[in-house]
Amino acid sequence: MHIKATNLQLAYGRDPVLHDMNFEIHEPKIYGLLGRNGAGKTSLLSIIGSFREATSGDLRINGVAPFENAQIMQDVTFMYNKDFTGETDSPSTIVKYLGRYRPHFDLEYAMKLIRKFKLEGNKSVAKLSKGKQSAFNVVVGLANRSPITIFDEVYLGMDAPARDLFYKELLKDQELHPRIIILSTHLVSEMDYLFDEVMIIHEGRILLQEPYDAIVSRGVTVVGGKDAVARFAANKEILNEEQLGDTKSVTIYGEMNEADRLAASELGLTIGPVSLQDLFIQLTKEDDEHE
Amino acid sequence: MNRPSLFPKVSLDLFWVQLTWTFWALGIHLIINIGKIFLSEHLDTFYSASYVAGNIYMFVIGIIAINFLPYYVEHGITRKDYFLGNVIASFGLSIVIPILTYLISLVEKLIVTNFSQIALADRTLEDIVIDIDGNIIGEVLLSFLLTPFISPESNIFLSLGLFSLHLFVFYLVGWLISAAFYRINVLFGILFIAVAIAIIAVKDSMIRLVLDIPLFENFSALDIVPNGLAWPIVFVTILITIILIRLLTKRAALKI
Repeated sequence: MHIKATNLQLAYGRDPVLHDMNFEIHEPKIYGLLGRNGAGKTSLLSIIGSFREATSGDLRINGVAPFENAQIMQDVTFMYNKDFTGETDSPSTIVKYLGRYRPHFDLEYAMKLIRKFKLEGNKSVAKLSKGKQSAFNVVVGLANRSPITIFDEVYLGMDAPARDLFYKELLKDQELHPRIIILSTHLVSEMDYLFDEVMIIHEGRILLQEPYDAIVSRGVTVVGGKDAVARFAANKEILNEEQLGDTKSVTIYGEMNEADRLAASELGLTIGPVSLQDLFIQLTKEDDEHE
Repeated sequence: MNRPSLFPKVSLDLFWVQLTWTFWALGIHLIINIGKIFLSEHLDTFYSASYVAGNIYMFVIGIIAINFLPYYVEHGITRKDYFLGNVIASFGLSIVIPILTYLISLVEKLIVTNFSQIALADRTLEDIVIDIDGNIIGEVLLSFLLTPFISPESNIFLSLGLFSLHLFVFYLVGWLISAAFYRINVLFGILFIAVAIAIIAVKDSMIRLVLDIPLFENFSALDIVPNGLAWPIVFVTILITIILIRLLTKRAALKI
């Protein structure tokens, strides 16, 4: 399946949320959708999930508008932090009916995940803790095996071991059943290794969409003696600085050329990759946050 | 790859879910009805007692019906399939409930007449409304609750059919009101309550015309409608209600 957005715009009344978005998603890979609070992540994903329509512009999945398209909608799963108030059934009861509407749903896998996330028992989903409810969302999202699967920060309520379990399951199942998976998140440093491709949106616009490897080569971390590092980093765009005694580490934005690398090695500096989180923070900095 | 349309599945599922609720409601109502045996020497048949209660019940579950919209869209079902599915489910429910209450009523009658001295009455609701004084709010409220009634003894099919019709319309107006609240805002929701009352008033007045039951004083102007037009007007009113629900839900956004 593929997703294509052309000049996509969304406004809530007079309040514009998404501006002129253009992007394409072709391959069954894991896409990280990063953006600050209010950047428009959920709004964008709502349009892909047919939860709402765009105000103008065009979103197509396999060449057709997904909204109210029965064939497409069955193949798109959009999981978000749902309010389960009033849900009287237990997780294992609910999943038994999901296969009625989801053509790729795997009940056996769902039950396995329910056991892994310790969601067995007759307790209704409404009575589960927030973290367990999040885990239940994850179970449904994974077991639906929809060709387009979206997780909109559903993992936020889960504790660290549960999140880790989710990441492992996600990678394992993606290998067996490749699909387009979009993960929107704030937990950049924790999840970056999952992403094949990264999309950063800022103030309703696509800031960049690149393979993970290409993005992290946009900057470097330089570690060494504080004077040598200071000399090397002069006139360069510094994203982050840290110092411990005489050792200093700076994160520099921009690719290194051969001359830079040579200079660094002459100064006895170690060059490492930049973290996605540092880049994300730098790229989405508001004007008044710049020093 | 074209997959089969999903609305038959949706209608079956929604029918079953709401039928389960109905069994609970009927059960509780039956317990109340039986309880009355010990308190009163006269007892309305279960059938006639369900006539008013059924309308209120359908109105309430009609209001709840909007919650199936986000549920189904989240599971990849179109708003259209949800709409069609629930129209069929609610229609089916409206047919099944009168039959169920009638059957329960028959059993009740058999037991009560054989084992007690209590008189069972199929009270026509007209008995209750004699002392209406032309107060518009009172009449609107009563017209909302006291729908024209035909005893099953006089004409079983007309009685069941009329019961079904009332139930269906009450379900639809509940659904309509909640759809307006969901889609637009509280103000429109309240506006649609007025629309719903008008729909009920028109339906009931037309049925009163056909059945030769006197109209409420405030609706007496409707007397000029020729009898032959009354049924078509009822039909069109229902159709308009269904179309309004579709228009309200067709492009509804899920608020998350």
